[in-house]
Amino acid sequence: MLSIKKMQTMMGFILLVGTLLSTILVTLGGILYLLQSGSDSIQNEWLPIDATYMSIQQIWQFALSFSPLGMIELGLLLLVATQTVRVALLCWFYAMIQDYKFLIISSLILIMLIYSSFWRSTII
Amino acid sequence: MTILLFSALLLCFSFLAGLLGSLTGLGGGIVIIPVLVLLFHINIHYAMGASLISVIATSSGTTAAYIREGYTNLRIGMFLEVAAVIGAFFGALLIAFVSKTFLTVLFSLVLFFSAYLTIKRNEEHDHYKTSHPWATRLKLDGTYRLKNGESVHYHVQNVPIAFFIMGVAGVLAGLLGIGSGAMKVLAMDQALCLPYKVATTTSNFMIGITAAVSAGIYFTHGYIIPSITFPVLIGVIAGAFFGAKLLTHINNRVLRIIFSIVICFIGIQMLYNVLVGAA
Repeated sequence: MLSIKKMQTMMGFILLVGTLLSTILVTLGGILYLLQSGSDSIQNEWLPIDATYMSIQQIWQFALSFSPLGMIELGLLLLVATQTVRVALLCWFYAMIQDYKFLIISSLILIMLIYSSFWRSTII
Repeated sequence: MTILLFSALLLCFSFLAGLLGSLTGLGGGIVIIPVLVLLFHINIHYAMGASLISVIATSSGTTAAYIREGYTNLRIGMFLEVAAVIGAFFGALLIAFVSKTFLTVLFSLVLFFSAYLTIKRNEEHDHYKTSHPWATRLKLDGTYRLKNGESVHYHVQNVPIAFFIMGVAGVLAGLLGIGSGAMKVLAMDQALCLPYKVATTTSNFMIGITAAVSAGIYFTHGYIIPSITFPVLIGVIAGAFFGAKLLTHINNRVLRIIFSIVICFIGIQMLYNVLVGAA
Protein backbone atom coordinates (compact mmCIF):
# COMPACT_ATOMS: atom_id res chain seq x y z
CA MET A 1 0.00 0.00 0.00
CA LEU A 2 1.14 3.51 -0.81
CA SER A 3 2.34 5.27 2.32
CA ILE A 4 1.70 8.93 3.07
CA LYS A 5 5.45 9.41 3.52
CA LYS A 6 6.11 8.25 -0.03
CA MET A 7 3.36 10.51 -1.37
CA GLN A 8 4.77 13.50 0.54
CA THR A 9 8.22 12.83 -0.92
CA MET A 10 6.70 12.65 -4.41
CA MET A 11 4.80 15.90 -3.89
CA GLY A 12 7.91 17.64 -2.59
CA PHE A 13 9.78 16.44 -5.68
CA ILE A 14 7.05 17.56 -8.11
CA LEU A 15 6.87 21.01 -6.49
CA LEU A 16 10.64 21.39 -6.44
CA VAL A 17 11.06 20.40 -10.09
CA GLY A 18 8.07 22.50 -11.24
CA THR A 19 9.18 25.60 -9.35
CA LEU A 20 12.83 25.25 -10.40
CA LEU A 21 12.01 24.67 -14.08
CA SER A 22 9.61 27.57 -14.13
CA THR A 23 12.07 29.89 -12.34
CA ILE A 24 14.79 28.91 -14.82
CA LEU A 25 12.50 29.60 -17.80
CA VAL A 26 11.40 32.94 -16.33
CA THR A 27 14.97 34.00 -15.50
CA LEU A 28 16.31 32.99 -18.93
CA GLY A 29 13.41 34.71 -20.69
CA GLY A 30 13.96 37.78 -18.52
CA ILE A 31 17.69 37.97 -19.33
CA LEU A 32 17.04 37.53 -23.07
CA TYR A 33 14.32 40.18 -22.90
CA LEU A 34 16.66 42.65 -21.16
CA LEU A 35 19.46 41.92 -23.67
CA GLN A 36 17.04 42.52 -26.52
CA SER A 37 15.06 45.51 -25.26
CA GLY A 38 16.77 46.61 -22.03
CA SER A 39 17.85 49.94 -23.46
CA ASP A 40 14.38 50.88 -24.74
CA SER A 41 12.25 53.28 -22.70
CA ILE A 42 9.46 51.76 -20.65
CA GLN A 43 6.14 51.64 -22.38
CA ASN A 44 3.33 53.63 -21.01
CA GLU A 45 0.85 50.82 -21.45
CA TRP A 46 2.02 49.28 -18.18
CA LEU A 47 0.76 52.28 -16.35
CA PRO A 48 -2.90 52.70 -15.48
CA ILE A 49 -4.78 51.52 -18.54
CA ASP A 50 -7.23 48.68 -18.88
CA ALA A 51 -6.11 45.21 -19.75
CA THR A 52 -7.28 43.38 -22.85
CA TYR A 53 -8.80 39.92 -22.85
CA MET A 54 -6.75 37.06 -24.21
CA SER A 55 -8.17 33.78 -25.46
CA ILE A 56 -6.62 30.46 -24.41
CA GLN A 57 -5.22 30.07 -27.95
CA GLN A 58 -3.63 33.53 -27.80
CA ILE A 59 -2.05 32.77 -24.41
CA TRP A 60 -0.56 29.48 -25.66
CA GLN A 61 0.51 30.89 -29.04
CA PHE A 62 2.32 33.66 -27.19
CA ALA A 63 3.91 31.24 -24.72
CA LEU A 64 5.16 28.95 -27.50
CA SER A 65 6.37 31.78 -29.73
CA PHE A 66 10.02 31.37 -28.59
CA SER A 67 10.23 35.09 -27.94
CA PRO A 68 11.81 36.16 -24.61
CA LEU A 69 8.46 37.31 -23.21
CA GLY A 70 6.83 34.11 -24.50
CA MET A 71 9.42 32.11 -22.57
CA ILE A 72 8.54 33.98 -19.37
CA GLU A 73 4.85 33.33 -20.02
CA LEU A 74 5.57 29.61 -20.53
CA GLY A 75 7.42 29.55 -17.19
CA LEU A 76 4.44 31.19 -15.46
CA LEU A 77 1.99 28.72 -17.02
CA LEU A 78 4.23 25.86 -15.89
CA LEU A 79 4.12 27.18 -12.33
CA VAL A 80 0.30 27.18 -12.43
CA ALA A 81 0.26 23.72 -14.05
CA THR A 82 2.45 22.37 -11.22
CA GLN A 83 -0.39 23.14 -8.81
CA THR A 84 -2.78 21.07 -10.93
CA VAL A 85 -0.29 18.19 -10.93
CA ARG A 86 0.03 18.23 -7.13
CA VAL A 87 -3.76 18.10 -6.70
CA ALA A 88 -3.93 15.30 -9.29
CA LEU A 89 -1.30 13.43 -7.25
CA LEU A 90 -3.51 13.73 -4.16
CA CYS A 91 -6.54 12.44 -6.13
CA TRP A 92 -4.51 9.43 -7.18
CA PHE A 93 -3.26 8.91 -3.62
CA TYR A 94 -6.76 8.96 -2.11
CA ALA A 95 -8.00 6.62 -4.85
CA MET A 96 -5.15 4.22 -4.04
CA ILE A 97 -5.88 4.15 -0.31
CA GLN A 98 -9.62 3.94 -1.10
CA ASP A 99 -10.53 7.04 0.87
CA TYR A 100 -13.51 8.00 -1.27
CA LYS A 101 -14.57 11.09 0.71
CA PHE A 102 -11.20 12.69 0.11
CA LEU A 103 -11.10 11.42 -3.46
CA ILE A 104 -14.28 13.44 -4.09
CA ILE A 105 -12.89 16.49 -2.25
CA SER A 106 -9.60 16.42 -4.21
CA SER A 107 -11.41 15.81 -7.50
CA LEU A 108 -13.63 18.85 -6.86
CA ILE A 109 -10.54 21.02 -6.42
CA LEU A 110 -8.93 19.49 -9.52
CA ILE A 111 -12.06 20.25 -11.56
CA MET A 112 -12.06 23.88 -10.33
CA LEU A 113 -8.37 24.23 -11.28
CA ILE A 114 -8.91 22.83 -14.76
CA TYR A 115 -12.15 24.73 -15.29
CA SER A 116 -10.61 28.07 -14.33
CA SER A 117 -7.72 27.52 -16.75
CA PHE A 118 -10.15 27.11 -19.62
CA TRP A 119 -12.57 29.72 -18.42
CA ARG A 120 -13.65 32.16 -21.12
CA SER A 121 -15.26 35.45 -20.38
CA THR A 122 -18.83 35.70 -21.57
CA ILE A 123 -19.10 39.40 -20.79
CA ILE A 124 -17.15 40.69 -23.81
CA MET B 1 13.62 55.31 -17.65
CA THR B 2 14.98 52.34 -19.60
CA ILE B 3 13.47 48.87 -19.26
CA LEU B 4 16.76 47.62 -17.76
CA LEU B 5 16.72 50.18 -14.95
CA PHE B 6 13.01 49.67 -14.36
CA SER B 7 13.45 45.88 -14.10
CA ALA B 8 16.47 46.22 -11.79
CA LEU B 9 14.58 48.55 -9.44
CA LEU B 10 11.57 46.24 -9.53
CA LEU B 11 13.83 43.29 -8.66
CA CYS B 12 15.37 45.11 -5.66
CA PHE B 13 12.03 46.25 -4.25
CA SER B 14 10.47 42.82 -4.82
CA PHE B 15 13.36 41.27 -2.91
CA LEU B 16 12.68 43.63 0.01
CA ALA B 17 8.94 42.90 -0.20
CA GLY B 18 9.60 39.15 -0.17
CA LEU B 19 11.94 39.55 2.79
CA LEU B 20 9.50 41.73 4.73
CA GLY B 21 6.58 39.45 3.85
CA SER B 22 8.47 36.42 5.07
CA LEU B 23 9.73 38.06 8.29
CA THR B 24 6.29 39.38 9.28
CA GLY B 25 4.49 36.24 8.16
CA LEU B 26 2.19 38.42 6.05
CA GLY B 27 3.45 36.93 2.77
CA GLY B 28 5.11 38.57 -0.22
CA GLY B 29 1.92 39.41 -2.12
CA ILE B 30 0.42 41.80 0.35
CA VAL B 31 3.67 43.83 0.49
CA ILE B 32 4.54 43.87 -3.21
CA ILE B 33 1.19 45.24 -4.45
CA PRO B 34 1.47 48.63 -2.65
CA VAL B 35 5.13 48.90 -3.70
CA LEU B 36 4.22 48.43 -7.37
CA VAL B 37 1.25 50.80 -7.16
CA LEU B 38 2.78 53.55 -5.00
CA LEU B 39 6.40 53.60 -6.20
CA PHE B 40 6.14 52.41 -9.77
CA HIS B 41 2.63 53.68 -10.59
CA ILE B 42 1.74 50.36 -12.12
CA ASN B 43 -1.93 49.60 -12.80
CA ILE B 44 -3.26 47.78 -9.70
CA HIS B 45 -4.57 44.92 -11.88
CA TYR B 46 -1.07 44.21 -13.19
CA ALA B 47 0.37 44.50 -9.69
CA MET B 48 -2.18 41.93 -8.51
CA GLY B 49 -1.29 39.62 -11.41
CA ALA B 50 2.44 39.78 -10.62
CA SER B 51 1.72 39.26 -6.91
CA LEU B 52 -0.53 36.26 -7.57
CA ILE B 53 2.25 34.52 -9.50
CA SER B 54 4.84 35.19 -6.80
CA VAL B 55 2.42 33.85 -4.19
CA ILE B 56 2.15 30.55 -6.13
CA ALA B 57 5.93 30.31 -6.40
CA THR B 58 6.50 31.02 -2.69
CA SER B 59 3.86 28.47 -1.66
CA SER B 60 5.35 25.80 -3.95
CA GLY B 61 8.89 26.45 -2.75
CA THR B 62 8.04 26.38 0.96
CA THR B 63 5.73 23.36 0.61
CA ALA B 64 8.49 21.48 -1.24
CA ALA B 65 10.88 22.30 1.61
CA TYR B 66 8.57 21.57 4.55
CA ILE B 67 6.14 18.84 3.47
CA ARG B 68 8.39 16.02 4.64
CA GLU B 69 8.75 17.48 8.13
CA GLY B 70 5.24 16.19 8.83
CA TYR B 71 3.64 19.37 10.17
CA THR B 72 1.42 19.95 7.11
CA ASN B 73 -2.01 18.40 7.63
CA LEU B 74 -3.01 17.44 4.09
CA ARG B 75 -6.54 16.32 5.03
CA ILE B 76 -7.37 19.66 6.67
CA GLY B 77 -5.65 21.51 3.83
CA MET B 78 -7.64 19.74 1.12
CA PHE B 79 -10.97 19.89 2.96
CA LEU B 80 -10.74 23.64 3.60
CA GLU B 81 -9.33 24.19 0.11
CA VAL B 82 -12.76 23.35 -1.34
CA ALA B 83 -14.13 26.55 0.24
CA ALA B 84 -11.01 28.51 -0.70
CA VAL B 85 -11.01 27.55 -4.40
CA ILE B 86 -14.72 28.30 -4.82
CA GLY B 87 -14.13 31.67 -3.12
CA ALA B 88 -11.05 32.38 -5.24
CA PHE B 89 -12.89 31.55 -8.45
CA PHE B 90 -15.73 33.94 -7.72
CA GLY B 91 -13.33 36.54 -6.29
CA ALA B 92 -11.35 36.57 -9.54
CA LEU B 93 -14.57 36.78 -11.59
CA LEU B 94 -15.71 39.77 -9.51
CA ILE B 95 -12.69 41.88 -10.54
CA ALA B 96 -14.37 42.69 -13.83
CA PHE B 97 -17.28 44.28 -11.99
CA VAL B 98 -15.62 46.36 -9.27
CA SER B 99 -13.78 49.66 -9.64
CA LYS B 100 -10.06 50.11 -8.99
CA THR B 101 -10.92 52.55 -6.19
CA PHE B 102 -12.94 49.82 -4.48
CA LEU B 103 -10.07 47.35 -4.94
CA THR B 104 -7.56 49.78 -3.44
CA VAL B 105 -9.76 50.59 -0.44
CA LEU B 106 -10.49 46.90 0.17
CA PHE B 107 -6.80 46.12 -0.18
CA SER B 108 -5.86 48.72 2.44
CA LEU B 109 -8.46 47.32 4.84
CA VAL B 110 -7.14 43.77 4.36
CA LEU B 111 -3.63 45.11 4.95
CA PHE B 112 -4.65 46.64 8.30
CA PHE B 113 -6.55 43.53 9.33
CA SER B 114 -3.64 41.22 8.42
CA ALA B 115 -1.17 43.41 10.30
CA TYR B 116 -3.51 43.39 13.30
CA LEU B 117 -3.75 39.59 13.22
CA THR B 118 0.03 39.31 12.96
CA ILE B 119 0.59 41.54 15.99
CA LYS B 120 -2.11 39.91 18.06
CA ARG B 121 -1.19 36.34 17.27
CA ASN B 122 -1.24 34.00 20.18
CA GLU B 123 0.65 30.79 19.69
CA GLU B 124 -0.65 28.99 22.75
CA HIS B 125 -3.87 26.99 22.86
CA ASP B 126 -5.90 25.13 25.39
CA HIS B 127 -5.52 21.42 24.91
CA TYR B 128 -8.75 19.82 23.80
CA LYS B 129 -9.56 16.23 24.58
CA THR B 130 -12.36 15.86 22.01
CA SER B 131 -12.87 16.84 18.38
CA HIS B 132 -15.67 18.49 16.40
CA PRO B 133 -18.01 15.80 14.91
CA TRP B 134 -17.03 16.78 11.33
CA ALA B 135 -13.38 16.40 12.24
CA THR B 136 -14.05 12.90 13.53
CA ARG B 137 -16.01 11.91 10.42
CA LEU B 138 -13.38 13.29 8.07
CA LYS B 139 -10.46 12.09 10.24
CA LEU B 140 -8.94 15.56 10.40
CA ASP B 141 -7.13 15.14 13.71
CA GLY B 142 -3.38 14.78 13.37
CA THR B 143 -0.08 14.09 15.01
CA TYR B 144 3.32 15.67 14.63
CA ARG B 145 6.70 14.84 16.06
CA LEU B 146 8.77 17.15 18.20
CA LYS B 147 12.53 17.33 17.71
CA ASN B 148 13.08 15.03 20.69
CA GLY B 149 11.01 12.35 18.97
CA GLU B 150 7.94 12.82 21.15
CA SER B 151 4.58 12.71 19.26
CA VAL B 152 1.98 15.40 19.85
CA HIS B 153 -1.62 14.60 19.00
CA TYR B 154 -4.12 17.40 18.38
CA HIS B 155 -7.91 17.52 18.21
CA VAL B 156 -9.64 19.74 15.65
CA GLN B 157 -12.44 22.15 16.72
CA ASN B 158 -15.06 24.42 15.02
CA VAL B 159 -14.76 22.97 11.47
CA PRO B 160 -17.79 24.80 9.93
CA ILE B 161 -16.53 28.23 11.08
CA ALA B 162 -13.07 27.56 9.64
CA PHE B 163 -14.67 26.41 6.37
CA PHE B 164 -16.61 29.67 6.18
CA ILE B 165 -13.56 31.87 6.97
CA MET B 166 -11.64 29.96 4.31
CA GLY B 167 -14.31 30.82 1.74
CA VAL B 168 -13.97 34.53 2.60
CA ALA B 169 -10.16 34.23 2.47
CA GLY B 170 -10.55 32.66 -0.99
CA VAL B 171 -12.72 35.53 -2.27
CA LEU B 172 -10.16 38.09 -1.01
CA ALA B 173 -7.28 36.08 -2.51
CA GLY B 174 -8.96 36.00 -5.93
CA LEU B 175 -10.15 39.58 -5.80
CA LEU B 176 -6.83 41.09 -4.66
CA GLY B 177 -4.21 38.70 -6.06
CA ILE B 178 -2.84 37.83 -2.62
CA GLY B 179 -2.36 34.57 -0.74
CA SER B 180 -4.63 35.58 2.18
CA GLY B 181 -2.17 33.76 4.43
CA ALA B 182 -3.01 35.77 7.55
CA MET B 183 -6.69 34.91 7.24
CA LYS B 184 -6.03 31.24 6.44
CA VAL B 185 -3.86 31.00 9.54
CA LEU B 186 -6.64 32.74 11.52
CA ALA B 187 -9.12 30.06 10.43
CA MET B 188 -6.81 27.23 11.40
CA ASP B 189 -5.14 28.74 14.44
CA GLN B 190 -8.17 30.36 16.09
CA ALA B 191 -11.13 28.33 14.79
CA LEU B 192 -9.68 24.85 14.37
CA CYS B 193 -7.26 25.41 17.31
CA LEU B 194 -4.38 23.78 15.47
CA PRO B 195 -0.82 24.06 16.78
CA TYR B 196 0.73 27.18 15.23
CA LYS B 197 3.34 25.38 13.14
CA VAL B 198 0.67 23.05 11.70
CA ALA B 199 -1.54 26.07 10.88
CA THR B 200 1.22 27.99 9.06
CA THR B 201 2.60 25.06 7.05
CA THR B 202 -0.91 23.90 6.07
CA SER B 203 -1.80 27.48 5.08
CA ASN B 204 1.35 27.65 2.92
CA PHE B 205 0.38 24.36 1.29
CA MET B 206 -3.08 25.73 0.43
CA ILE B 207 -2.07 29.19 -0.83
CA GLY B 208 -0.55 27.97 -4.12
CA ILE B 209 -3.65 25.98 -5.07
CA THR B 210 -6.03 28.84 -4.23
CA ALA B 211 -3.91 31.30 -6.21
CA ALA B 212 -3.67 28.91 -9.19
CA VAL B 213 -7.48 28.91 -9.51
CA SER B 214 -7.51 32.72 -9.76
CA ALA B 215 -4.46 32.71 -12.07
CA GLY B 216 -6.43 31.04 -14.89
CA ILE B 217 -8.89 33.93 -14.86
CA TYR B 218 -6.13 36.56 -14.48
CA PHE B 219 -4.38 35.17 -17.59
CA THR B 220 -7.58 35.44 -19.61
CA HIS B 221 -8.15 39.00 -18.39
CA GLY B 222 -4.63 39.91 -19.51
CA TYR B 223 -3.59 40.95 -15.99
CA ILE B 224 -0.40 38.88 -15.96
CA ILE B 225 2.21 40.89 -17.86
CA PRO B 226 5.44 38.89 -18.36
CA SER B 227 7.69 41.96 -18.45
CA ILE B 228 6.45 43.14 -15.03
CA THR B 229 6.06 39.69 -13.52
CA PHE B 230 9.56 38.33 -14.09
CA PRO B 231 11.54 40.76 -11.88
CA VAL B 232 8.80 40.57 -9.24
CA LEU B 233 8.77 36.77 -9.25
CA ILE B 234 12.55 36.41 -8.99
CA GLY B 235 12.81 39.15 -6.35
CA VAL B 236 10.01 37.83 -4.14
CA ILE B 237 11.28 34.21 -4.26
CA ALA B 238 14.82 35.32 -3.36
CA GLY B 239 13.52 37.61 -0.60
CA ALA B 240 11.25 34.94 0.88
CA PHE B 241 14.07 32.39 0.80
CA PHE B 242 16.49 34.76 2.50
CA GLY B 243 13.82 35.79 5.02
CA ALA B 244 13.17 32.16 5.97
CA LYS B 245 16.90 31.64 6.60
CA LEU B 246 17.05 34.82 8.67
CA LEU B 247 13.96 33.89 10.70
CA THR B 248 15.67 30.92 12.31
CA HIS B 249 18.19 33.38 13.76
CA ILE B 250 15.92 36.26 14.73
CA ASN B 251 12.52 35.07 15.82
CA ASN B 252 11.64 38.33 17.39
CA ARG B 253 8.14 39.46 18.23
CA VAL B 254 9.18 43.12 18.44
CA LEU B 255 10.57 42.98 14.90
CA ARG B 256 7.30 41.54 13.67
CA ILE B 257 5.32 44.32 15.35
CA ILE B 258 7.53 47.09 13.94
CA PHE B 259 7.22 45.66 10.44
CA SER B 260 3.47 45.30 10.80
CA ILE B 261 3.23 48.98 11.77
CA VAL B 262 5.32 49.93 8.72
CA ILE B 263 2.86 47.95 6.62
CA CYS B 264 -0.05 49.84 8.17
CA PHE B 265 1.58 53.11 7.11
CA ILE B 266 1.83 51.76 3.56
CA GLY B 267 -1.90 50.98 3.78
CA ILE B 268 -2.69 54.52 4.96
CA GLN B 269 -0.65 55.94 2.08
CA MET B 270 -2.60 53.81 -0.42
CA LEU B 271 -5.90 54.84 1.10
CA TYR B 272 -4.85 58.51 1.08
CA ASN B 273 -3.81 58.34 -2.59
CA VAL B 274 -7.02 56.76 -3.75
CA LEU B 275 -9.28 59.03 -1.68
CA VAL B 276 -7.47 62.20 -2.76
CA GLY B 277 -7.36 60.93 -6.34
CA ALA B 278 -11.07 60.15 -6.31
CA ALA B 279 -12.06 63.51 -4.79
